[in-house]
This record gives sequence, structure tokens and C-alpha cells, in this order.
Amino acid sequence: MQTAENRWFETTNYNFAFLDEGSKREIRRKTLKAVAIPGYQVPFASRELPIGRGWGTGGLQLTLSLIGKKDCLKVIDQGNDDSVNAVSIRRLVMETTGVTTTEETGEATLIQTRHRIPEETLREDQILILQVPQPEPLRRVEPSEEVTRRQHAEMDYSAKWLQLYENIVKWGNITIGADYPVMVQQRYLMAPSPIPRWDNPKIHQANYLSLYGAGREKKIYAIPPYTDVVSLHFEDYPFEVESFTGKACRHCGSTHTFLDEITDERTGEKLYQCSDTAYCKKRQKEQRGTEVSHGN
Amino acid sequence: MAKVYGQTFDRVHDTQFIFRKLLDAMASPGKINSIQSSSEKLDFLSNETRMVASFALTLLDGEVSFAIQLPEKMLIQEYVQNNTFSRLSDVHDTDYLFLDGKISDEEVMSFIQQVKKGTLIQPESSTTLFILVEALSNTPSNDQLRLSGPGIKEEIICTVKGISDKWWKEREKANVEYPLGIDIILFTKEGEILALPRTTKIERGE
Repeated sequence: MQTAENRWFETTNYNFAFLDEGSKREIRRKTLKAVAIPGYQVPFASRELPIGRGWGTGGLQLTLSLIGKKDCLKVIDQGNDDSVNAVSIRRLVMETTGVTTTEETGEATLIQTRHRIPEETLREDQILILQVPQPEPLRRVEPSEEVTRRQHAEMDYSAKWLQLYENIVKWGNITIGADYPVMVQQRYLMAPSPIPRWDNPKIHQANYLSLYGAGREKKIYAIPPYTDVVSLHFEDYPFEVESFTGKACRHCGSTHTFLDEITDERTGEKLYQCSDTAYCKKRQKEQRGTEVSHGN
Repeated sequence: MAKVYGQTFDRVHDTQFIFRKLLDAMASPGKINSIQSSSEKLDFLSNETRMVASFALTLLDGEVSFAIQLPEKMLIQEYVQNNTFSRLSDVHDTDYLFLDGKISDEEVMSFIQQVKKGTLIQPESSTTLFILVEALSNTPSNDQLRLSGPGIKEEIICTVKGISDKWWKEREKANVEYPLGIDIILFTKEGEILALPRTTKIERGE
């Protein structure tokens, strides 16, 4: 009988990295196409996994088809290495591959993430894998997949521009928070996954490859390094990231990172802390004078 | 897979290694990667053939089709069919096409005109070309190529030996209506690869 303490996987019962080779090949073929057409959503078969669809299976399938014995994996969920979703995904990959894992952004070769891009600048040899719940940036303005595919083909994004315009008319500003749409290489409108607007500028001309996987919606798309990724904006209503003016992380004192707002239940006081926990821990260590490896 | 000498080609780990090199090449057009450490394990085949076999074992199976126009055509075709169950098809409707860079200008024109360029609804349903060349380098020369586009920081220079200018002219025509187009992977028999996705702009000379 397996209990929480002695849980194990008979890894020999699984292929390396869980997926069968045929599934990996299909994902690999589609991934190469995705890189060749930046921002375009390539449909793929999306296999069953021991994790429910919509819980990171798109990102996970990319990770499993990419990973090799020499890789070092980092998994984060909203910037956090220790959340349940991140831990489950990391353990599944560990137990079916035996690869090493890390919480240090600089040590990882593959970084699977949900809803954040690490604060530390990544290196050229690192690959960022983003979990995507809704890959279609036009879905809110057009429910039909057939129609949105045609709109992408014709580069007809007027409905999305109208949504932004209506925002301004109604609220005086563009009200999209996370998953703020971007234009890739002046051609494809793309959903950057529900990362905060804070992270959008990081994708523009980034020096690393980003892969996006949507398991439930069965799409893979990619941003190669050094690609133009521009957040939608109007001349008189420029794109703006979240502002944390006058606020600082309660742990490391950072004023240059994306902060989470939490409320102290007893006092009702609003507190702020870094959303990227690994970066925050590293800064705390540095402040205590412990030697840590430096990324950028 | 049959093992004759040395290490055995591992269908799980060697294909993973080759895929990552292909992905890295595709994400950084003009960058030269080597898959020799894996391809040389297929040492019962000739150098050119083992490169084709390496790509085939990594990417092909019964879901996709392939065509080959290379010196040892019959032998490679049989190997790929037997080992991947991929469908042999005609040039005009193949998913993966393996070619020799040294074919005549007429053949270059004919092949590139025939292959699938995708549709506006499905630009990914295009042919990927693997072209055998004599040598790849990033050193400047008189007939160097200057590459720019996504994946390239400003510009990268590369020199390709064993391929005629006709290829670049025909490629440009095939890629004129982005996102339609063809993706090309150049390879040498020594195990080097260099990718030219449809987004890469190629300019001749200095």
C-alpha cells in the first residue's frame, strides 16, 4: 500500500519522460514548425497525461518532449517553486526521467512556468516553456475557432483593436490585466499566456527561445530569440506595465520586481512581496552576505 | 536497430539530442550545430546516409511522408521506410524532402516550385527541406550569405560550399508570401547542421 511518505513510481514501467516516442516525435515536429512561424498557433494532438487538461499539460508535454539526461529543470507557478502545481509537475518529470531539478534560475536549462517570466535575465542556451490556458487572443471577441483561424490568416485583428478602443471609451483606459495581447514580428497577434503586463517587455528581442503549450486547446506556439514582440497600444494610450511606486518587497526590500499584494488577516494591513520567490531568496542571501551564483 | 561496431544509436536519447540541436538551429538561423556524436553511431551506413537516417529517426513516422533525391537514393529510402514506417511520397506532396545541394539549376527550380508551401489557414502544412552541402562555416568569404530575421541578433554571416546560387533565388520566390513558405536545414556529411526557416532573409555578398 502506498502512502504519502513512501510513494514511488516504477520508472521502468514508463518510457523515458513518460510520453511514448511517437507522441514526442509529433510534438517535436510541431515545435520546429512553431519556431519557423513565430506567434502562429500550430495544432497538435495533445496526449493524455496523469494530470488533468488545463493544469499545465501543454507546457508539460513540451518539457517531456524536450528533456534529456543532461538537462536541469526548474518549474514555477506564478513565480513560485513551491506551489502544488509546480511541485506535482516537477515530481512527475523527475520520477519518469531522473533528471536533476533546481530552484536557481541560472542553473536550469529548461524552465517550465505558469503565469510568470523569471526576474533574472535568462541566457541564450535556456529554454522557457510557458503553460497556456487560452492560446487564442481573439477568443474573447470571436467564439468560433474556424473564424479566428481565418482572421489570423487574413491578419484581420480589427475586433481586438475595437475591444481595446471600447475599453478606453468606457473606462478611460485599456483594462486588460494579465495575458495582454502582443503582435509578433509585425504579423501574428499572440496571447503571451496570463503573465502580468510587467513581463511583456521581457519577451521583445529576448535572447532565449520561448515555447508556449496549450494542452486543453491543443496548440503549440513559439517566440524565437531576437524577435519583435510588441504589446498592442494606441499612440495616445501607450502600453503600461503595473506600477509599484512607493512599495517594496517585505522580505528583500526589492523595488524593481513584480510584487504580490497580500493582506495581514489580523491587522488588515496590505503587504507586498516578490512574486518570483527564487529571485527573492537569492537577494535575501546576498543581503546576509552568503555567496551565491550570479546570473544577470 | 542493428548494431555493428561501437556504440548503439539510442532511439530515445540520441533522437532527443538530435531534436534539441535541430530546435536550437531553427531558433538561431545561421548557427552551426553538430549532431555527429549521435549520427556516427549509425556506422553501418555511409556518412551522407547516416545523416539522413538521423533526421528520419528523429522526426519521421507513419503520420508523415518523405521523398529523397540523393546519390544513394534506393538504399536510404529502404532504410527510412523499414525503420520509421514513414510513407514514401512524390516531391509535390511530401512533408520532408532530402536533397543534394549539387543538383542542376533546372532541378532546383522544379523541386522548389513543386513542394508544399502551406496555406494561409495552415502555413505549417509545408515541406521541410534537408539539403546536403559540402561545407558550412560562419567565416566571411566572397560568396558569403548575410542572414537576418527572427532568431538572429542583427545579422549573421555564413558561407555554404556545394550549393548553387539558384537555391537562394528560388527559395526567395517560394517565401515571398509569408507565412507561406519552406523551411530549410542544410547539412554536411561531417554532421553539421544549419537552419534557414522561412522567416530568414538572405542577402548575397558583402
